[in-house]
Amino acid sequence: MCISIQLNSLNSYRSRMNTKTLDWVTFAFGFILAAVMGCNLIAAAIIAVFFALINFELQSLKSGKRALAAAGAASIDDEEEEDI
Amino acid sequence: MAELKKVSPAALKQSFRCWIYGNLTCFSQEHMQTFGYLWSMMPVVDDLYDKDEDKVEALRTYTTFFNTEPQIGTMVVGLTVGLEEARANGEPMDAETINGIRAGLMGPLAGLGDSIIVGTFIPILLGIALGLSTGGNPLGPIFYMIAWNAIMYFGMKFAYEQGYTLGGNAVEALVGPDSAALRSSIVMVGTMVIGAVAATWISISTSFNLQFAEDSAFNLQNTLDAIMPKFLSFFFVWLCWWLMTKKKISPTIVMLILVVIALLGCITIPGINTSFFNTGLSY
Repeated sequence: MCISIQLNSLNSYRSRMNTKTLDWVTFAFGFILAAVMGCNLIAAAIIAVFFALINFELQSLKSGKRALAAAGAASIDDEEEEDI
Repeated sequence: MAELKKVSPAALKQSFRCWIYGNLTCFSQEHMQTFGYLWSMMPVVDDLYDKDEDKVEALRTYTTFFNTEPQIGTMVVGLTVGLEEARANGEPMDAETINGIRAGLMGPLAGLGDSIIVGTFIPILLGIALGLSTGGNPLGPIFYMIAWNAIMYFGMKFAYEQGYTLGGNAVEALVGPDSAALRSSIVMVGTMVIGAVAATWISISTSFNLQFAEDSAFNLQNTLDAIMPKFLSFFFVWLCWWLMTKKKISPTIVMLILVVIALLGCITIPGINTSFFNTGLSY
């Protein structure tokens, strides 16, 4: 057993990681994929893409709902103005 | 309407030349290919922006760590040229998105490049060259030098051009109605890949062992492995992040701190006759 620390990757995550909890969660997930499940970088990237796709769908859905709600609120305002 | 900015063919050629000749410029454990990448982006940024402040701001994006397989990785350089062009034209393309794409691609492309170029292509080329060298024939090395440089030059040029086209097309998706969702997804891929990179590259284990009786012992590494494999690696990654981000300590000082920790960890603890790290030395 020995200690072998390679600092070359530290700068990469220092600049990528901020204080957002989600960043640490995704970072930890990538770490676990490689450390616990033994995935190599390509496999980890493919799994990351799947999760990113799910995230994309959820975010799009959320923004779509928000846009729909905004459009609904605007139409109600228009109707109220017409009534007045 | 303002005319759309486009990177000139001369700047593209210069940028490609900078990458092909200087992708390992100022190579260090801390930065690796960062400065080679930065150098290859300089002609593009110089061509796209007029004001010095804008140039500095654009180049600041490329000071983030970068390392990949140089031949296949040429595609990433071409891609960011396309994205930089879009940013110069006022598209809402932030540094985080560009770096998310870079971080997300550098790991997988390094894996692919190492297997294809280093693991397959070079041995095949060397096999042919060695066959030609039989009996001291100089044709072998000459063949290798010409074939390697020619194939790599045109291959990298193709990858660069493909990346540039891809970058231009990707912009439409990145600034479209679902841009925020797409960008957060790209950042997610980048962060996850960086997590996997950290787990692959960093390896820390302990030799701390307490012997209570002949058949009873406490092995710290086994206990930590039961919690999570590579627990110490994760802890040290977090420690380095905390030192650099929260305490604003430079990476070089962090490296020195780790060296001190490693040295102290190798000292045998009196009384229990064990050390935290094993030097691997035997006398």
